Amino acid sequence: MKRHGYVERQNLLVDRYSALGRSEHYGDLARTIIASHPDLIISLSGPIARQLKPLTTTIPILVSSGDPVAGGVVTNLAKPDGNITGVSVDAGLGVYDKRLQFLSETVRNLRNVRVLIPSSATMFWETGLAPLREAAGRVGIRIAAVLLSEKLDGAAYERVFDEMETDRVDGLMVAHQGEHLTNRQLIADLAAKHRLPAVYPHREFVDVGGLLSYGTDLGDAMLRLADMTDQVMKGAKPAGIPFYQQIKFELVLNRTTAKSLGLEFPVSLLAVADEVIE
Amino acid sequence: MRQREFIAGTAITAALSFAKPVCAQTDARSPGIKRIAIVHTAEKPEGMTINGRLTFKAILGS
Repeated sequence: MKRHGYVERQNLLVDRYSALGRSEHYGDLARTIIASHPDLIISLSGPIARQLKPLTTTIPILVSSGDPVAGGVVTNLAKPDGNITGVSVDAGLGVYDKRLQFLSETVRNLRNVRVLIPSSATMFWETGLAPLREAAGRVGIRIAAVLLSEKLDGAAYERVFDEMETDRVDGLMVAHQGEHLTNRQLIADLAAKHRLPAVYPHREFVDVGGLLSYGTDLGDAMLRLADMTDQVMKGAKPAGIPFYQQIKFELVLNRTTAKSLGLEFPVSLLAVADEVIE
Repeated sequence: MRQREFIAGTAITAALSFAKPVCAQTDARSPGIKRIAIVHTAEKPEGMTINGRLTFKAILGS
């Protein structure tokens, strides 16, 4: 926003809201935001945007979401619904198949994988990731969701990692929801503690000790969201701004973490990696 | 420009159990001033700043 000439507390006021990891509060939070009559809402969550959507047809909502169509935020990316547009940070859920492929190339004989998902994203697992379940089945990998409790705190993450150890899980896929980014250090630490190889949606996880990531450039996506915000504040209609979908994906590998897990990235993976952290 | 009450620190209302806005609020109808709301599922409001993690740096800064 700063590069578009907005300076907080001078010509821009920012009200910050958080559900603090409690998905049962999304509805109340959405109603509170709408009642405050902001000029524009930036929702860094598809599920919260879904709660906001029926409450206003006039306040523009700019959303950062995994797959906005699969997530029920809009029905069309090119011509978004009414007062909503934004960016997709996980363009095309086929990217999950690719993540599983990279994980299975790193962990030989991968057999029992979990996908880490907040309880608020159950629909995402049931509908959006059906192709991933089919792809895993074809190569003999058992895959299931591990759902975090509604009260999403450190204890909730520790609990599911303990369960995965009991279930002899040998690979983890961390889904794209924002809750995980907030807790990225905790997740990377727990994966290390439980010696569980994991693939992540963004490099921010690998920067704090995660094994590998494959996904879009989050910083670039957020810059686009700021650009859209500026456009709308200058009078553009959200319906006239197509959802931005990134087409560039980056593969980032953490060799130090691999070594600590007793793994080695295959040459084929190292050859296509955008960055290898030593 | 009509000033609203300044809410300091991380104001978490017990009744609602989620974080309320943390900022100096001003009437958005004042000429030239825009008021936006940013909402996240889990991030603490004090981290949602230009000095916060990449997501917030990119949106509010750059």
